[in-house]
Amino acid sequence: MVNSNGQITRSQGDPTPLAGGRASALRQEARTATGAAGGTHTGALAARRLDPRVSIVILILINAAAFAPRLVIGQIAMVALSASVAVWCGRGATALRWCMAYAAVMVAGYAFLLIPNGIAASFATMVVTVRCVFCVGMFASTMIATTRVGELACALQRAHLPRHGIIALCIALRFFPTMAGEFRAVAEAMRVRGMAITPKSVVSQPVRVMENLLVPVMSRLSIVADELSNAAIVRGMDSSRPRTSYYDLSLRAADVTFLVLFAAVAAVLILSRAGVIA
Amino acid sequence: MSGRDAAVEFREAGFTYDAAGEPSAHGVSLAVRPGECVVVTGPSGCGKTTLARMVNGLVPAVYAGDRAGDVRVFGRSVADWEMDDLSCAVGSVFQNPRSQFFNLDTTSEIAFGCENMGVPRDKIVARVDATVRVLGIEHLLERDIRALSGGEKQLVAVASVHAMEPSVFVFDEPTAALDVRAMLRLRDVIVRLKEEGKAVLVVEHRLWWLAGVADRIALMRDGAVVSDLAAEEFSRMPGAERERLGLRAWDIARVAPRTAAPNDLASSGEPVLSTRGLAVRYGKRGTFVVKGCNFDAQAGCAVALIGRNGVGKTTFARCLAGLHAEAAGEVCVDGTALSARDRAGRVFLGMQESGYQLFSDTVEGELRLALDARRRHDGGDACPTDDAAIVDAKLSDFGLERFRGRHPLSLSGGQRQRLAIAAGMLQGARVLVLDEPTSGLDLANMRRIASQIDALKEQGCCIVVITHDYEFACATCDEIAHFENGRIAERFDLTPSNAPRARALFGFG
Repeated sequence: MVNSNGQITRSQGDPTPLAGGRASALRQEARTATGAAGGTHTGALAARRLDPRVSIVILILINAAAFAPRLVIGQIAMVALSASVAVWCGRGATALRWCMAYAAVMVAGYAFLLIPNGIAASFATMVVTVRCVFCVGMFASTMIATTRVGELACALQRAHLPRHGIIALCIALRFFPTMAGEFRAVAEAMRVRGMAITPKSVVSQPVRVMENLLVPVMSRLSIVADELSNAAIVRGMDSSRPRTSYYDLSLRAADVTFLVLFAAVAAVLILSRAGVIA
Repeated sequence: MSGRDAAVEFREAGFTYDAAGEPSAHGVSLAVRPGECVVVTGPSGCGKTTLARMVNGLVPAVYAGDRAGDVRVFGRSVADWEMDDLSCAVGSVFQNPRSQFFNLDTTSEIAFGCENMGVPRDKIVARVDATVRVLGIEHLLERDIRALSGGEKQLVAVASVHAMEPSVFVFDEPTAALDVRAMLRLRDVIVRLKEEGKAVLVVEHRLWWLAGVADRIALMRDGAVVSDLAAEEFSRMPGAERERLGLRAWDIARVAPRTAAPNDLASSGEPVLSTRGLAVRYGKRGTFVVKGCNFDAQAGCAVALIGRNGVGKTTFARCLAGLHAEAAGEVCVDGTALSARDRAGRVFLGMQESGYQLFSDTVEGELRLALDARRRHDGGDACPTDDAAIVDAKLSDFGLERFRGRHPLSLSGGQRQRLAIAAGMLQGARVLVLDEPTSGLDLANMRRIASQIDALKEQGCCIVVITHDYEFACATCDEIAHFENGRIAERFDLTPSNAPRARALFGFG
């Protein structure tokens, strides 16, 4: 894992040669300290992850192949591959949940087909649509959970995307969890104030519920946005200097393997849609 | 005062924000030398944050206004610095650890500033390694930031700035969200920064943690530095004088609980709140955060719930307030066991951000909402009908009459907090659980909350306060409950004779 310049590359949980002397040894200690505990250590990052560029390409492949309904077997293969990526990244439990959800969607789809009326048919269409995009969501969840923002930025920089676009993307990734947290906090505050959101309140006073939820969230978000932008300025986010990266991305065997497998399945699905394969 | 050797130097400096009539700072002369730590303190609104912004360039980059005098960083006026160069020379750490992150993992975050500044990769790697070694936070590398405690987040923020290798550090109320142990940890970090020859400027309310590391203390009032004392001189200042200046404690060992008169209400009768064998966990298979917890609290009594960060105090409080269902055991209010759903609204949780808890467009309307909520769960006839009179009475109890027509979100933090508590009482809650009510408050505001709690006690409320603020606990709490291993491990009255034990549990050495 020492590249041509003699620099240490990203370790991805493999034993790193201690080429960098004490500094990298320390980093290695930190890595094994968190890595050893695997997913159970609170806040430990995924031990293994795909190269962000590979993740993006795979996501595009899945999207391209999403609506090829003739080959259910191909779709199942996609889901199985996505599951194996998740397992490889140390997210076995999540993978299992997604697979169970997929099975449920499959069963629901066939069940609706058994009922011969128009309403059931429209539900069946909906379920089929969900089934088609299912894999996109499944792979994206693994990607978002395991990709480092810094690595993603590095990948995009290499693709020569404009600096402001990259930074906007990084902040968006960070902002969604923040926003979700703010909404949760306000919903809880409503319960504390004895005005919990219930199905009844949503139906009878939808505007009131929305207002109670949105006004505090917006005011909080504007504070967070101000604080974030101050922190951004003093950390050189607006700097005119060309951006660099801590990470040095390099494709690894696992990256290539998964890429080839996904590409193969996607090719089969796309060709089948085009009618090349029956 | 002056001299070429100063890293930061204010020369008769002042600033007036565009929207404001009065200058927020004026005639400030102050110097920070390399290897020196200068603390700027003073009551809320005295202009100390403006001072920090004048050094790190946020004035005028973000905040427009009129500048007066001169602020020099390494002999060069801030106005003459390129923002990029200034950001590399002056590192800033802010108050809220939650809102200074751009990445979701710690390693990327520490490297982030260097990446923006275009530092070559091998140098970034070396700097990140050096930073975590100097700050002693190797264990924080490669972690999910969202899973870190507030104190750990603040250390990552310091590390991220440190990696940019600035010569000056500006801390703007860095401990507002930290517990005692995290504050002591931050003190160690500042000691290390000084050893490296960095100039450190700390803007802060809470002072005790800076004893031993601060070299000079500058007191601000109404935008001006009224005195600039060596730390030794400051430590000799009599307590009464310090309080007159509106400053928080310097020497924690001298802060003593008041000798409370035995409270008649407290000693008699059934507890208002009690839990039996309470167990709480996250998810169906998660580990228990609270297990076998027995706790009770009397009317007219304030209990300080203390314990390390992340030990489960907040989860316990959320369960009391009905936001998290118990896995086993029961919570009784006035002798009746209530389900989590029924507790919501009856056990009032005062959140750290009271802005979340206010939903009306006027202060008065907020209290009417509370009365409506009470009617909904008690039935129409269970409570008195003269709304206007009740609302008026509460407004005057809480000193909010003047604001009755204002929008709640236009109030100051302390006023919002009072309004939220008033609403909680009107909706029929006799049990109030307050989560860190004094984080980031100066002496006057801390005292105001303490006297508010005293008033609530007299009205027969039962109060549980989660706090890391020993000075505040001494000002108003009657008992200490130490939360550890999922239950109350220790409980005693907070009296002068128990003070040493209380200090130890708060985390003071």
